[in-house]
Amino acid sequence: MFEVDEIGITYQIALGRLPDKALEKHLIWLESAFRVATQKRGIQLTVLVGEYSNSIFAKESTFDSLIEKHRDTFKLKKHIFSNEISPSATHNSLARNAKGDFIVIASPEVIPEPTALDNLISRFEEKKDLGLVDARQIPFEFARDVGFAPNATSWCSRSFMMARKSIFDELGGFDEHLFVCDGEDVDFSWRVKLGGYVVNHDPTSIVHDSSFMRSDKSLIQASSKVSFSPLTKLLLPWKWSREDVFESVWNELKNTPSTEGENAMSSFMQIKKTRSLPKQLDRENRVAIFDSPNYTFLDEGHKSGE
Amino acid sequence: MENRIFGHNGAPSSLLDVVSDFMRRYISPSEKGTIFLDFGATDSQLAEHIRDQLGFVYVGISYSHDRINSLKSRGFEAYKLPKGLTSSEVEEFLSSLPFGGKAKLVFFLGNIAGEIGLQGWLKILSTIAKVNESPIILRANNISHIDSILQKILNNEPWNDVSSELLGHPFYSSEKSLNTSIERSGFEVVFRSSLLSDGSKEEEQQGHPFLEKDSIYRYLLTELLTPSAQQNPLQFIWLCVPGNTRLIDDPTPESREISRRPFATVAIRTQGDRAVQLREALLCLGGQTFQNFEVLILLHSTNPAKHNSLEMEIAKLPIEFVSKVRIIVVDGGSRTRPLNFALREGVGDYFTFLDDDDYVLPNWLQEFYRLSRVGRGRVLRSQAVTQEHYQTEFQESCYTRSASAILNQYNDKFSLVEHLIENQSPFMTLAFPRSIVDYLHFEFDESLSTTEDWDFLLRSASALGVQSSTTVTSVYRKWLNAKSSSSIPKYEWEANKLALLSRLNSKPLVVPPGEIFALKSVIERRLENENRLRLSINQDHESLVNLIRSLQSRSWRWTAPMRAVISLLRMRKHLSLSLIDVRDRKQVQDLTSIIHSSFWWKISSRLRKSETQ
Repeated sequence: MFEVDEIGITYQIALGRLPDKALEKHLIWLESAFRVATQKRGIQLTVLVGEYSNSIFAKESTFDSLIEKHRDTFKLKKHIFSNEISPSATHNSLARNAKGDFIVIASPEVIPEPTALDNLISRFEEKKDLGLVDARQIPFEFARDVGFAPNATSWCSRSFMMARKSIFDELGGFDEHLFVCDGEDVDFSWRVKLGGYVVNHDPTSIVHDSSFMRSDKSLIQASSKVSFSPLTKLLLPWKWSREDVFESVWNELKNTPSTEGENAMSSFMQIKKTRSLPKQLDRENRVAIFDSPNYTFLDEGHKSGE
Repeated sequence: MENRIFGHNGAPSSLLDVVSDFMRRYISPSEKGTIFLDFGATDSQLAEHIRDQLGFVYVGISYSHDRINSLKSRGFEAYKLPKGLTSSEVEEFLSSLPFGGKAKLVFFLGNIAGEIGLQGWLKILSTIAKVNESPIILRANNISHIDSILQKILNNEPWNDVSSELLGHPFYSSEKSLNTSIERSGFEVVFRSSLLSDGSKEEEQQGHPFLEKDSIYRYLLTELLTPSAQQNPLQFIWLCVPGNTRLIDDPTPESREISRRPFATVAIRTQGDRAVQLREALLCLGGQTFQNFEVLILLHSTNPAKHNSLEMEIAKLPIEFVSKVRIIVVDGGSRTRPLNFALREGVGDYFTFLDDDDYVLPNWLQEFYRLSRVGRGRVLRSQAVTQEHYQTEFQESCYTRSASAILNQYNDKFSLVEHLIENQSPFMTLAFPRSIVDYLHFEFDESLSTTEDWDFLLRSASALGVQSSTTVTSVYRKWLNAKSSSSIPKYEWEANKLALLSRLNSKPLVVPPGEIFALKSVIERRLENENRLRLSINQDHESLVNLIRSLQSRSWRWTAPMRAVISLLRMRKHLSLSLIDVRDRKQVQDLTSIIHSSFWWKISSRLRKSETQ
């Protein structure tokens, strides 16, 4: 257990194109998760909803009624960003003004199972050097790391992750300048590891994701990426000092012409030209995993949960 | 109030039996002067029966000259009712008859209507009945009975419920209308009886294929429309007495209930052993985009500790969700019994079934709702994919994990013929309209320990048809290391399969349009396989000879009765292995292995020794 009487958690939801009903449902289930978690320890929970698109989908009257509805459980606040920004920038901005011991990043398309929050907190109580942990998604698990130690993972998904606030602040949150579409959670997870902290997965914490299947039986997972964008596939190996992987991806994009691929290469060159590429990390290749397209590990050497 | 059904289980069934029964119950033997007033007088044997067998006075009243003359010639009192009288004039006519007010009267209202109709007659008689405390024996043909319906169609008779019946023809009424008419007239029913059949009609009906007793059409219509004869008899014969009048303007409780039905009843059967999986299933329901449903958790073969544990799990869920959930404890029976409880207890427009380890996608119920708008009254079917899972522990908590890619194993399109070979529809991909219960009275076969879902689907699909979709809405989880239905022995699956197919085979099966080509394809595949088998068996003649020798052995044949008894005691269908449809060499070897490893084969070894000696 923690040494303090009460822990502070900031729970962040970046809201883009979402019906109000989904947010309402998410908060209903969050309240149940909060009730279960508070049976074992005191928790001060603040829920921050950041709207990052130009269109306001969470209507004022609806939001006011949600604030009132959950008044006795948690504090609910909304921040509307006037310019359209990315989800990672939204989370960074929300986190800058947040207080507390932990930060939970949750996708609006998930709903937490009542024991999810309690279980994640328990992982931090058990392991002092744990920096970041995520929950398991159903009905379709995010395709990674199956078959190894139950809590082993190469990276945590922002569909539902929990981090120590101090570490989030120390590392400056997500790299919002580089990873606009996706990949920011992969990058953040590796930076947490690089900082000497443990990154784990908690299979006992469950969240439900709005997954659908297309008529061709391909999967759409609302909160998680099934495959990464071409630009992320270039930026991640570049930033994490894997020139070999970068070259391979570059050549593949070049040899398989597509609008998306061409835009990705063009964007990369533009970033390079304006000297906006960040400092390269992990020169000794100890942390970042490029074994598979999903940046998951494929060999036994990574099976430990440490 | 008592109900008594005649004609059931081979008992004699006739109007005379019923009337005798009523008279004996209601009229004291000392009241021999009681007058039995028959309005209509169409039953040729009734007059003699009342006078000679029961010892009462019979009086007939009819519009028909012939009937009046016939009665009089047989020594009975009879009065001709003039045609065209209004209700008040009929009342006046009856008051003028000589026996009014002097003796006890029993009215029999069976075959008279005229322009007045049943309601009119009841109102007329209610005045007299109240003064004399006279009961009425009321007879009406059940308008919803298949014979009544066919009679109407064949004779091109009007479908009017109880008004303007043709002269001398029996009343046709539904049970509900009859109740209403009686209550509005100031009577109450004290004794109900029914006739399941009326043998006198068979001569009139011969010749038309729909009415022939052995015709397929009649069989189908009777099976589907009157699955329980007791619930839908041919004739109602009720004993009514003057009572309190009641206005029936309020909606019936049933119609009030219908207006509040959720779209779906989601029935989850569980034994309380798989808490993690159940938690996940409930979370999937919480994530539904369509929230108009109720959840029945059918807790089967459980104990107080598991029940308590389940209650505690439910209590953790959001209040908005908990309000949809009911826990129903089911004791005894096979794993099929909870499903019948669901049919009885569920109030949704559709029934859907989940096992406690199923995953459903957020659009699961939304897709059913969409299909229900397109295919009203049909069984609804969506798609499932499969995935292997395993269960394990972490930090003293159980959790589940996927262990394979997502597989697409089931046919997109529904074919009843293909489903006779193999079930292609995991249970959670189906939604059944409640008409299957309310009108067809379908139930799950509790003697089936597996394949109960398949059996229910085949019967329902044949009766209602299927509205199918290619949208994937669920995941069928195949467990690598946890208890599931796949751990049930193979021979039990085969026995249940044979039982359900045997039952289907004993009745006509309605096949929807578009199935002929599917049937042709199946036959062609079968012929192809047979050719292959012939080649294969020719190469491995010995295996087949061994199997046949085992089946024909004295030891196997002599133990058949005991095997049948044990199967019955275990509530399993007895597998008659002599009817096996052998398809390939592997099946020959498997079946031989099953026989030789069975208990009965081993204990009958001495018999085989004597066979070979």
